[in-house]
Amino acid sequence: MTSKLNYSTAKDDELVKAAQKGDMAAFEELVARHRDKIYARAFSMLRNEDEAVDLSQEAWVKGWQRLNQFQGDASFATWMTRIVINLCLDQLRKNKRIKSESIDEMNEETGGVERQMPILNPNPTEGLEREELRQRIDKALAQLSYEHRTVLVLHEFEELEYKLIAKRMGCSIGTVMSRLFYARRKMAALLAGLKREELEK
Amino acid sequence: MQLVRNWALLVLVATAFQLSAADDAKAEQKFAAILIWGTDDEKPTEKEKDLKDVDPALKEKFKKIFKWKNYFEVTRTNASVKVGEPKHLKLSKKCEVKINQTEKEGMDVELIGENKTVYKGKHSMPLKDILILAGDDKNATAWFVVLKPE
Amino acid sequence: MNTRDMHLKVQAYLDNELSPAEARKVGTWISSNPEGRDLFNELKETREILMQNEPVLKLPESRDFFWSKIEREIAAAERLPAEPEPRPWWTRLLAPLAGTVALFALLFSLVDRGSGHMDLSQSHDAAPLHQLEGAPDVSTITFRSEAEGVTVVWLSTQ
Repeated sequence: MTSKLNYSTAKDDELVKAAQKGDMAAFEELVARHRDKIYARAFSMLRNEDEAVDLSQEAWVKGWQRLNQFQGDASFATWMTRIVINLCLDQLRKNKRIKSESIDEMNEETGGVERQMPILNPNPTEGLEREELRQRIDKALAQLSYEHRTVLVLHEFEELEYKLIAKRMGCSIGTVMSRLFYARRKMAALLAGLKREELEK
Repeated sequence: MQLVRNWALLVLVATAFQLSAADDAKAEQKFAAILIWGTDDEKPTEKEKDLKDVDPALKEKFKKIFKWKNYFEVTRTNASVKVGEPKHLKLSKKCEVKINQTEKEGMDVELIGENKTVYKGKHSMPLKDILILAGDDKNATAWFVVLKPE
Repeated sequence: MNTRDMHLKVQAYLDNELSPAEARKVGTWISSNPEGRDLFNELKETREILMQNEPVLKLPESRDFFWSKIEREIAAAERLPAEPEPRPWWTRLLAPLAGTVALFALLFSLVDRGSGHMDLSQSHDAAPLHQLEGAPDVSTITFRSEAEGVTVVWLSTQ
């Protein structure tokens, strides 16, 4: 006797197997479980709520269409995240918000913020509540350019290596390194509570 | 003799059909060229006068085929083409369509977007189906160029 | 090596992106260089703070509403031809030839061999016989809905 799948308690891989056989309800449960994460990834890259909702929706549709390509090498959530990241990168390139080589190359080469900045202890976050810290990080991320934010998101949150980031962003490894360095130092400054005006002096 | 007469009659009838078919091909093809915009949003108030409702029968077809909630008619032009009389219709500042009925090979349709040819294709004559050339527009909307036989 | 290159190597050392030999060199430099050590610590702390505190966001739409849009889009997409599966490279060479062969087969079947006149009105659809040319960065999908009497050519920019 086959037992019906209890969607709310089933594991992801059980839901994926059912969805691969055409079970839409199983797929809906997967959407419900991971929609916030997928949306958050889209928002972290696009910084626009409407666009992030649209692209995460599109990612889910593509996920359904490509479900049979999911082999289980990575978790389902990771697989879906890769889909939404690619959609976001396409969108950023289409809208010319991302350029292959660094628009801030001059700034990165001469040092810009990072050159003028002393080495910081970015952890005045000690004592901050976790939620407050996250909000601070979110605000700081919003102050980066698309290129710098994207490389930071892909490296720190997605844990992709330089080579893969370079491939996704269509730039050289050297550019990835420069952008990541600049982004990290700027984040350190922002988290250390320096005012933006001071940074731009 | 009877056999020869029958064959001659058959050839005559066949030729008559061919001529009438050829005449059909040379005959005028009337159609409406309609530019439609598809969106999930309601009609923008500032575009109240510019956007009209799509006729119900066409709207019904759109809803069955495409995913958007609402469809609005941007422009509509009635035209006809004959062999040797191509038509160049301007549907909007950025959208033009050229239609040329050729002698034997059907209808050449060329879509021009922002002064660049975006699509060129041949379609059979006479146009039996509604022909829709379409693509994505910004903000998850879509444009549709409809050639509807009249 | 200039200072900037060294700084980038410190970062790469932190991220385990260096070869073992280079990692040893940079590690030695960091331990003997106070500025290098401070930079390494700053990058390390920033990385850890970010990795442990990624902002948590909630999708600003209800479960039902969001799902209903996805469901609708899936249904609409399923009315269009599916995304083609990746093809082996050699099929791309054969495809144009196959198209030409198919076209000739179709034309041959339509030609009235007596008069040589091609009666296109016998073809049952308005699909393009072939696309003459289009913009190089535009791809097309053509499909026909017999029920609706509609031929759609969907143009995508690449």
